[in-house]
Amino acid sequence: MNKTTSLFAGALCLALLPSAAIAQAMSPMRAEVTSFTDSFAVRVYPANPYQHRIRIEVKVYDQKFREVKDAVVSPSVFTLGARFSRPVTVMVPFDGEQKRKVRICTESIPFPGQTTRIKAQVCGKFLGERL
Amino acid sequence: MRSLMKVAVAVAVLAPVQANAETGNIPFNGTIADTCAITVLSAGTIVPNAGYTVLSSTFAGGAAGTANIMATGTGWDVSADNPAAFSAAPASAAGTTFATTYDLGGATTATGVTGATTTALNNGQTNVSVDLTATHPSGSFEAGTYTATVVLRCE
Repeated sequence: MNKTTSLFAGALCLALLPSAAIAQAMSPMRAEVTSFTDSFAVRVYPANPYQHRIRIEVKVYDQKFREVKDAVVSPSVFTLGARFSRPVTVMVPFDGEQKRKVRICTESIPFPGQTTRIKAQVCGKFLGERL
Repeated sequence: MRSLMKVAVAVAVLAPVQANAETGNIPFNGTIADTCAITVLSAGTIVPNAGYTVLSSTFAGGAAGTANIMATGTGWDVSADNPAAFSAAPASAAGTTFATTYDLGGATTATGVTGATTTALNNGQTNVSVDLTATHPSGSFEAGTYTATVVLRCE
């Protein structure tokens, strides 16, 4: 599979996904993606519902909540302004399987420096299927 | 004949002007994504018991962490993960065990739910209160700063 074909497949998958809504923590949160390459692409829109900017990290987990280390998230860590959202592209390899279910999670820690911090984690479930 | 024309003109001038009233429909459309948003309102505080063997947000002087979750549909679940370890603590706290519980109010109600248990969210805003208890593995907690992070998840 050459890189151009892979990128084209990724772009096709992105074009088929629904577009984002503003001021939500993450959208979409469910999708099924088909791909004819060794990986599938998902575009999600993390959003900051706070009145202040926050640091956001996007991670990919499998069904047992183990991090999928070979997934490519771009950008994976960024600062998001108040009431703002931005697109994040996630490329997930099939890892030799015909189908792969993953969780894509938007995480943030808005109150550092407290004894008990709450990390907000909003996870979407995505199914990739190889054609 | 001229008189007749004058009368006709006068009648035309004096006749009420009738505008043609037309109506038009202006459509409005909106879309709300089916999703959930978590807003953390406050961090929690854990304090020791009399024997310094347990730190908990449920003890007097402690405080639960609070958040709200806005769900725009059904099909979303909430849960709260135990910390695996303190993110900051004296070395003697290694091996501490954690227990997380949460209460829900608002659109969804539940009390004293074990953190790992998922609860289905109803459409609307749910208020979440998270409590954390840390138990020392063998002795008592020594002086120092203890920090732990609970993951509040909506999926």
